[in-house]
Amino acid sequence: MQYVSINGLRKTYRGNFTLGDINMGVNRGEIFTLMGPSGSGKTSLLRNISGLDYPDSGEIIVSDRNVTGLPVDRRNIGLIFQDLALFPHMSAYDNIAYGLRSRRMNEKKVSEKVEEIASLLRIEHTLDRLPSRISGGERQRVALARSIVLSPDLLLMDEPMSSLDPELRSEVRGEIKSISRNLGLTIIYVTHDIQEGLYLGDTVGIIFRGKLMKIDSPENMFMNPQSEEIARFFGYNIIDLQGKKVGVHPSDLEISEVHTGFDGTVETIGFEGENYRVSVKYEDDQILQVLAKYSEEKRSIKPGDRISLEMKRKITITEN
Amino acid sequence: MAGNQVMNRHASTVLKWAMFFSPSIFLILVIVVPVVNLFSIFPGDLNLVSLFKSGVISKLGMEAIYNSTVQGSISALFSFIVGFPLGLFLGRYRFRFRRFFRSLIVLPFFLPSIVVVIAFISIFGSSSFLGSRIFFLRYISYGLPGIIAVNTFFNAPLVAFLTSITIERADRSLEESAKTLGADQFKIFRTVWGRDGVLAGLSGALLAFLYSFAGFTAPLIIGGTGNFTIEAWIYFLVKTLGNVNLGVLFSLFQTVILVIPVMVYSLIWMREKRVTGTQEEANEWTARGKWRGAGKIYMYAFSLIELVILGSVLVSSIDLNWGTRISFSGYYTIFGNSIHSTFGISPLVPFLNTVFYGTLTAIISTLLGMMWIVGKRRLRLSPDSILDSFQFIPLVIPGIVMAFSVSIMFQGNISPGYIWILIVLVQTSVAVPIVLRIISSGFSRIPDSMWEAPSTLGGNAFFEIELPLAGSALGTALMFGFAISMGEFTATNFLSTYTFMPLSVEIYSLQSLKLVSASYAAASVLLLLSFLFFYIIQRIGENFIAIR
Repeated sequence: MQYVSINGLRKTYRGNFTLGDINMGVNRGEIFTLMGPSGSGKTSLLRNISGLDYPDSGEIIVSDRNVTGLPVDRRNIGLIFQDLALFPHMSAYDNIAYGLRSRRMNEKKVSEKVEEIASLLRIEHTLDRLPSRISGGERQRVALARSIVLSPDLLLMDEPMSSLDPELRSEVRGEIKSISRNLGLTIIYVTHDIQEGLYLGDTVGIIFRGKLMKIDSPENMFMNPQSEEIARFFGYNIIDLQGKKVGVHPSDLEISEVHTGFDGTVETIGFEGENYRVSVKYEDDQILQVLAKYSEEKRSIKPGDRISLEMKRKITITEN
Repeated sequence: MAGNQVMNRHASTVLKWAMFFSPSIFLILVIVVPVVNLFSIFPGDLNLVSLFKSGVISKLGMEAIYNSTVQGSISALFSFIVGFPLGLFLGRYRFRFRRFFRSLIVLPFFLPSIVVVIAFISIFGSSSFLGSRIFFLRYISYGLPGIIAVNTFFNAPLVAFLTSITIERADRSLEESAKTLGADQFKIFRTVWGRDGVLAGLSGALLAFLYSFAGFTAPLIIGGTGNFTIEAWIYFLVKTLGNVNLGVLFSLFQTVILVIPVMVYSLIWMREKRVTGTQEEANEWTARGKWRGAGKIYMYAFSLIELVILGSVLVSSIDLNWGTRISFSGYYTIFGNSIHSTFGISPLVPFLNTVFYGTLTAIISTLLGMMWIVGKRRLRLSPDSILDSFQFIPLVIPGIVMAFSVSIMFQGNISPGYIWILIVLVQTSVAVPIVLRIISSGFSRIPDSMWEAPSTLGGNAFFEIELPLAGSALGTALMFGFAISMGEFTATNFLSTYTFMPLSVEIYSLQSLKLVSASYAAASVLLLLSFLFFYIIQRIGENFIAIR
């Protein structure tokens, strides 16, 4: 049996959004990333696991305990909110100490624990400051410290990096991964950022319209999504080739210098850094996205040009 | 085990609903049940048609409706004409001491109505310094012009305040985008920032209509029976003529007629909230233009007139005819033994009653408000929940009807020594809609995650997080509760006896007994107390000022 096990969870919300029928498991010390577009039910699932909402049916087992009906404060599950929810009138120290004090821990021990976790996350210098007086990255760490100082059985993270700039995001996600490894933390991490989800997850789950569509390793999930919907979520072009649907990732399409028979007309083209992103109109007005490596020759490509494409890898779509 | 958990969850949900409905339950018990009881005692053999067919009743009734409607309409119109330009100026322009002037301008709306009426008498009355020298000024101290002047003085600040708040929160980027699209200044006013300002001003005017339609103090003291509103007639019929049946009929009129404007106001308010609700913070505009100078002059003039009118109470309390002889006889009367011989009570009683009622009203209404908002947030109800409609009941049912119905229902059952309970209950009912709005606005700034996070960490979200974060809103709510109690005159005057009268009723009683200096002195004490509370409210949370 897995360390975290969710079996047959269902929940219907006002407005008729339904979550279910969710079955998933997470091994101890793993990061499970839950990905899906906005409004797909990622946050709702986290709320049910944390105890902020109660499922209509199904069960949630964490560390051999059935926590399904337990109130939120009795589950020993940490939750980091999208807006971090740091208490603005409390210093970083008091924010981190909040849960320990709620558990009636003596002040000496509270102080030891706060300093220990602050040192681990390199935020000692922020402890006496209010959240409004510290940087975005430090706020992330304070929120993380506030949850992990309680040694939760499971940590839930609801898109906590959505407000950070890209550079800081990649730094913080590296830290989350290393902290999870060092402390053996089991994490369910929610995001709609594909790169972030794939990077962080030992296992990845995809959720659409309240349904968990697929669970797999990040590599398998990305390289062989199988379902058209998941493939589109990962940015694949879906092409109808002789009556068969195939998925081709934009990075697997190259502009060929020789005629391949796989031709299209350039709609738009723009340089993104390492690559050109080219929109190509293919048969039946299908628009294909192409990520073409930079080269001097490609600088001259303009909208309206006919180009030949070369497909380096394709996947077969077996499900809708 | 699992069964217990489910039971606990159900119990917790029931508790949340009970908390959410606590103000509604309070209002139903204190207002709705007594009012229904009042209407049900209406004699069965007397129906509305037969009552109207009897000449005297239909004449009185029509006259009262006519007076209420005329006073409401003209006062609303004048309040808009006077208040809207002030609101435009205060909302649009930034200048030194802007906050001070805005507070000063809104002050009259905050004052007890009896103080404003006494102030008008003290400065424009026929024996006043100005009234005796400038003949035409006397007209605005009595009769219909006097009532309109008092109502306008009272409500124009409300129009100005609502207009200015809306205009200063208008989205600046919309105006800039309209400019880039080639719109001229008038079009930008008409289609962007002025549009919502006009709507806010009109909703203020509608409130002015409601308050003036249900006007009591001014018609009663300076109007004479020829200008009595329905509200004043109810008081006169029941308290002076002892005609309870007719009082009930007039109460029914008043309640039915007020439903329509209150519904219109609620719709405008909800629409306005939906349109302007996203912009919480005021824009720091430093707009300049040709109207800035004119606006400043107008604002200074309004502030000066306001200070002179309010100051005249203070001056008259120590020097009746201004510039003759300073005397503290009024103060000696209200704080000396003559109060004992006049009313049979200790001179400190009205003062202590005022503080006592104010404290209880503030605490009860704020506690109800806190339970309501916590229940509402925990149940994740929408901010504009239809379930909140009960809170508008005190706007529909006028103070005099509340007092009348409560006295009919309870006075026979409780000892006269406990009349104070009825006074506190009615004052709390009057305070509930305003206090709830203040608390709601304070809590709306706290995201849901702020109470969910403590739950996941095992802490107490309300006491440790929400209470400190909404502290200034709760402080403001307490102050407003106190101030509303201090200024509530209509119902309190109806219910109280000498033993239980607060300062506002003492002023009226002294005025009725022609103890003019003493009434000015008592009005001055109430004015200073109100000013003190207004100052504190402004200091701790100027954004929480709400609708009276």
